[in-house]
This record gives sequence, structure tokens and C-alpha cells, in this order.
Amino acid sequence: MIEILTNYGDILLEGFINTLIASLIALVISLIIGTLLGIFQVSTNRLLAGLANFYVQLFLNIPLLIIVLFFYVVFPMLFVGVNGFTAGIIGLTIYTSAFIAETVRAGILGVPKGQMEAGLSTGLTYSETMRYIILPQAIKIVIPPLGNQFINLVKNSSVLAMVAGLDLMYYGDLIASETFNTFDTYIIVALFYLIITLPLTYTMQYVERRLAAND
Amino acid sequence: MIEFKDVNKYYGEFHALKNINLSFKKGEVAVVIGPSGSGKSTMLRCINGLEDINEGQLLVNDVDLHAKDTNINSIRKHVGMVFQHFNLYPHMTVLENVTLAPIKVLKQDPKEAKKTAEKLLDKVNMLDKKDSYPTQLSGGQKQRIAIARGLAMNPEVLLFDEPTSALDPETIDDVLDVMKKLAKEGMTMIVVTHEMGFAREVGDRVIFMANGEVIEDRNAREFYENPQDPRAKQFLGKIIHHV
Repeated sequence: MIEILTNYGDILLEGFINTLIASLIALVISLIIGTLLGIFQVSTNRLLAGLANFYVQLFLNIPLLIIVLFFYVVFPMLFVGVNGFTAGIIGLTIYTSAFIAETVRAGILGVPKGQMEAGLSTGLTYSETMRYIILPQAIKIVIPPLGNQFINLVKNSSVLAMVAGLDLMYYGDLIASETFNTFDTYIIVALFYLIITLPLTYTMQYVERRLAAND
Repeated sequence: MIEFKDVNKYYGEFHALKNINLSFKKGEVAVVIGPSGSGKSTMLRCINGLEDINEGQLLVNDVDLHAKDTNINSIRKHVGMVFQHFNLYPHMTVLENVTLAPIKVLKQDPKEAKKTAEKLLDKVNMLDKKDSYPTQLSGGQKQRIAIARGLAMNPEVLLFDEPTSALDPETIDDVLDVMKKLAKEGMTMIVVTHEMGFAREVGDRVIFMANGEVIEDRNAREFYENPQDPRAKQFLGKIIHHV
């Protein structure tokens, strides 16, 4: 195990950093897209709601790997070539944003109906009521399941290995096939993932406790 | 100021409001009673557009509420509503609950809005709780704040949808006292309620509804002393028996 770390430490670290970067980029963008889609899904505008629903149902129900392979293999044939790292991030973002949209939608619907009625009845518009009354309450409902989505995202980023995405998993596979020491290699790789996901888990638990204390 | 003309409403097959013809004048306190499922809350909720109508016309200040080119928000500004379950905003303080709409809708200066809100909270005897959050309050306290929230928009009419039905008996009177005070000040009020004492004391008129129809619409005292329709008699008998 020490041997692997000394011989391959530099590429493991590179993979770790790439995994971190890919996760972070996909997280930020899918959070924005997912939140908007979630709001659109409950919109009274049927076209908007329909389109958002279509997107969410589509990407919720096909494997992440297919989405990533599409951007790695098919997309370059039609448009412009992208490397594995980029294709992976695009796929992760599209896939995760569908899950975040579902979470946000459920959060908005979790706010009692009377809140919207109260806002509207004082003359606030639908979007003002959303902004000042519904969303601030939905955030509280959404944060715990959103934390799970973040952790899933980090773990799902290992799909980059399938498209030469230069992430932690990719280099892990490389090291395993060079050294034939699969056991030690994958344990090290798993530990690296835990370095990201465990603090995330504890942060979420802390935030949940804080939210509960405010109730 | 409010006029229902041959209004019909359906929920799918269910005929919720049947040919409603009603008009409400400024300064009037109208009490709407009737068994549950009689359409009284639905009728009330049509007045500020929380429910749509399918046929007929509903005029608020001579504006056709459900016409396509009507901006519903401009009407809601003048029509306040108090709900059975209060619907206070739990993430805001009492003061913020009251000042939100005046600041955002009427574009009042926040300091001005706060001053007005404090006056109104004092009026409903809740000024000492202005920095509390709704979860820290009892039902009766919440409802009095909801009334202050409605008043903060300086509405021309205040709608009450069973304001005391979700309250503990000992807090009902605090809410009714506030409502009586408003009635005596000349506030236009339409009140869906089972509180017969309130209806008798301050109601100018009683509207009795059953099965989506207006059955009786008369002076409050006359109605209580001498209800005409057998359904009204039966309903009154039951309620008075309970009290």
C-alpha cells in the first residue's frame, strides 16, 4: 500500500483534484439549473412546466453512463469534439440537475398551500409570493435531501473513468492494471473518496441540526 | 361594492355555486352561515380570485373580476382575507408578517410600514409580540396578527373564512372582540362563521347557504327570530342547541 502511494502518489493526487473540480463544477451548475427546473415544474405556465417535466423525467430515467457516453462519443460526431473530462462534467450536470429539480419541486410542494393563498390575497404576485414566502420555507425542507444529492454527485463522478476523464477512479484503474495489486489500489481510491464525502456528510448533519433548532 | 350576478361554479361534475346573486355594500357586516359543503367558503374565496367562476359575473368596485384583462392583483390589494388556519409566514417575525405586503405591493417606506404595523398590532392587542415568530404564539394570537396583516393593506373589505373554527375555545373571544371592534368602526366585512353570538351582535345581515345556493338573505335579527326556509330552521336549531 505504501509502495503504491510513493510510486503513484502524484497521479492519485491529480485524479483526486480532478474529481474535486469535476464535482464542484457539476454541483454549482446543476444546483442553478435544477433549482430553476424545479420552480418551472410547479409553474402555472403549462408550457414551461411541461418542458421542465420532460427534461426531468428523461434524465431521471436513463443511466448516467449513457448520458456521459453520448457527450463523449455521439456529440463530437455531430458538433464539436470534447474531451472525457468535459463530457463527464456535462453528463454529471445534466443528470444531477434532474434529481435536484425533483428535490426542489418536492420542497416547494411541501410548503402548505395556504402560504401561497395568504401571499396572493395580500396582493403579492405569484413570483413575489414564491420569492418571499414559498422559497425561503422550501429551502429548509430541501436542504437534507439536497445534501444526499451532493454526496451522490461526488460518487457518481467516478463515471469519468469510463471516458478517460482523468479522475480518481480513472487513475485507480490505471494503477491497478499496472501493479496487479487491485485490492490495495481500490482501498486507497475509496479512502480518497471518503476524504470528500465524509466532511460533506458531517456538514449536512450539522446544518440539519441547526435547522431543526430554529423550528 | 361587490356584486355576484348569476354566478355558477363547478368542480368537475359537482355544482358548487348555483346561480348566486348577491351584493355587498360599503360599511356592511354580512355573516354567511350554512352547513359544511354549502359553498359559503367557495363563495368567499371567489371574491379575491382564489377560486375561479365558470359562469356569470362577479364585480368588485365595478371591475369584472374574472374578465381576461383584469389584473387580479390590483383587486386583491383592496380585498383583505383572514383564513381559518391563519397562514402566517412562519419564517418571519410578527412585524415582518404585517409589513411584507405594504412594502412590496404598496411600496411603502419600510419605516412607515413598521409604524403602521405597530399601530395595528396595538389595535389587536399583540404589540408586545411584534418580534416573536408565529410558532411561539397561540391560535388566537396568530389570528389577531392575521387580521392586522389584512388591515395593513388598508383594504376596502375584509373577508373572514371561518376565523375562529380552528381556535381553542378560550382564545375565540379575543379574536371576536377584535372583529367586533372593526365592525363598529365601519369596516366592510364578509364573515363565514358559526359564531351566532357575533352574527347577532354585529351582523347587519345573514346569508344562509345550503347545497351551493343562497337560501336566505335577510336582516340578522329577523333571520334569527323567524327563519323562513325549513333548512335554515333546522340548521339554527342544531347550532343554538349546541350553544
